[in-house]
Amino acid sequence: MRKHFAIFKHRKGLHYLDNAATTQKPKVVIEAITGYLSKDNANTHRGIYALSENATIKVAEARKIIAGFINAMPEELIFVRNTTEGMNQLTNSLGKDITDTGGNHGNIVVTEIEHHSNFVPWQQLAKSKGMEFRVVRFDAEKNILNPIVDLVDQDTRIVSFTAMSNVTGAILDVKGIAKQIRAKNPNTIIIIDCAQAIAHVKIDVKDLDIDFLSFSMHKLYGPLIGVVYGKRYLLEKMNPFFYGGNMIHKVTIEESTWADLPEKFEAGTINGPAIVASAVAMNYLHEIGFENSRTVEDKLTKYALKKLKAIPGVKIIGHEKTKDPNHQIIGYGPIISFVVDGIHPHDLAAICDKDEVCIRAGHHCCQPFMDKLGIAATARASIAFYNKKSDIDALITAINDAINIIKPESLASKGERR
Amino acid sequence: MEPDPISNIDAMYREELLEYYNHPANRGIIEDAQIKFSDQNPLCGDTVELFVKLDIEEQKIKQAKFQGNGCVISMASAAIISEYAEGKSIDELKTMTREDMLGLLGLHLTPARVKCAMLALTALKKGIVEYESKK
Repeated sequence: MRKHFAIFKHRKGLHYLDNAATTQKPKVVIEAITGYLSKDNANTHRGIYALSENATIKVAEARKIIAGFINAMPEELIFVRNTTEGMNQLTNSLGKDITDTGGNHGNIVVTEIEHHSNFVPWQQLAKSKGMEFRVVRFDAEKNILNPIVDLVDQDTRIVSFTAMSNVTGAILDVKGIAKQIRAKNPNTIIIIDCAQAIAHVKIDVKDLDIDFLSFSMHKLYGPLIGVVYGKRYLLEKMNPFFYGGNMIHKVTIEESTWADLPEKFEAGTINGPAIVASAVAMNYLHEIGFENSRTVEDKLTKYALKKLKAIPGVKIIGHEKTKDPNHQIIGYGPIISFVVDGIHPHDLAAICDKDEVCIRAGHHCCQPFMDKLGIAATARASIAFYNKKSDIDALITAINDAINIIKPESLASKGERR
Repeated sequence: MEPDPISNIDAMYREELLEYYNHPANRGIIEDAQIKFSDQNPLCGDTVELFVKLDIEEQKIKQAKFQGNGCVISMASAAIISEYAEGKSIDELKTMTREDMLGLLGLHLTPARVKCAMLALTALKKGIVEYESKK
């Protein structure tokens, strides 16, 4: 499978373990982009000529495939820049409809483990509308999340939470949580951040019964383009994200009316090559087999956890075997955050880079979560199906190198200095 | 020619800087400091707090200490700048540049790591501005 990815040919010594940030692209995806641009390029929806009509058809076919991946209808899919833009557009659009109902603007519920892109927009919306901003707390001792439904009441307008943590890889029981929220308040809008989950958890919007979700193709072996899914009846009554070309039905000096879905939400020229290549990425993953990919990732994650735990001074965040008594976290994906006693994650990542081991270091855009964990930053290794045991071994060697170079006092005092 | 940032790793983690990181002489707080400023790097969450005790008559730095949490570069920079500041005039420190700081560290750094190196000096300069505005 590694041979499907040109980057590993060009960079033979590369140990790429930052897949949660962005995945590498298979040749078929790169070829789909160049193929579209060299053979099919025209503006979609505009031309009367065959080339433009052909581009429009290609994009429509791709939309069908991408929608099918999450069991949505093509018109329920909106293309945006990335997950962050998706979340912001949802916030802006839904925010316009939040009006005063007798002095009560209600509340918005998110969790403490959210990425800033699913935290700050809601925090700011709540502020601007005078709404209550409710944050479901994480228990750092036990590595569990309080039940989301506990903060939902009759005044809850929106609940937005991640399907998989970009820090710990914790996978949430989206279906179970959504069901509980519906039972308590059927009018609450449920939004899921699928940025990480899309590559590792089977997402079926009908089965999950959620209202909106957002993800980005670049974390799923595709190009940099974002996707927002929304339930059809909700999208129909919602405000457009942007105004402009392609999204109107009729414009007069006095008034404008909107095009049908999904054009209503896609003002301006859409990114044809990226959409077509996204469908190719999904077909590619289908050929590899989603389950096969998960099996490889799981195996490598277990291997990495075992190796990491054997290094003195290494502490892994999450990945506990014990069951979450709140039934919020139901497992872990191939993302491992860890800290090494006395070594700052930045130094660790810099020393890893010496051996072309790419890991992430920082707060991962989750400062409230970091605050709860009581740390400023973690090192994060994230695995994809094209990784090998040798990538993990290179990481372990680099961590030991870092310990030998920096010789942190905290490890020396425990008599573990090497 | 600029040195390759990857081969620069050895310079970054050389004994001298690691000594500053593992045994920073000036780590601590000064209770009666006239200048006190804390800052953080939003990219990585590194924090540093600087304390400066002044010789008011001479407008010189009598003593400087720091506390904080961060990588080797940011913590070694904080240790080095607090050491360097002692005996210097406020004006001298105010005009220090990025190149001056990197010179003290003896490093060429990639843009991301320059931010680590500049954390303490920036905090010191902001602290001086705050002190002078209160005068």
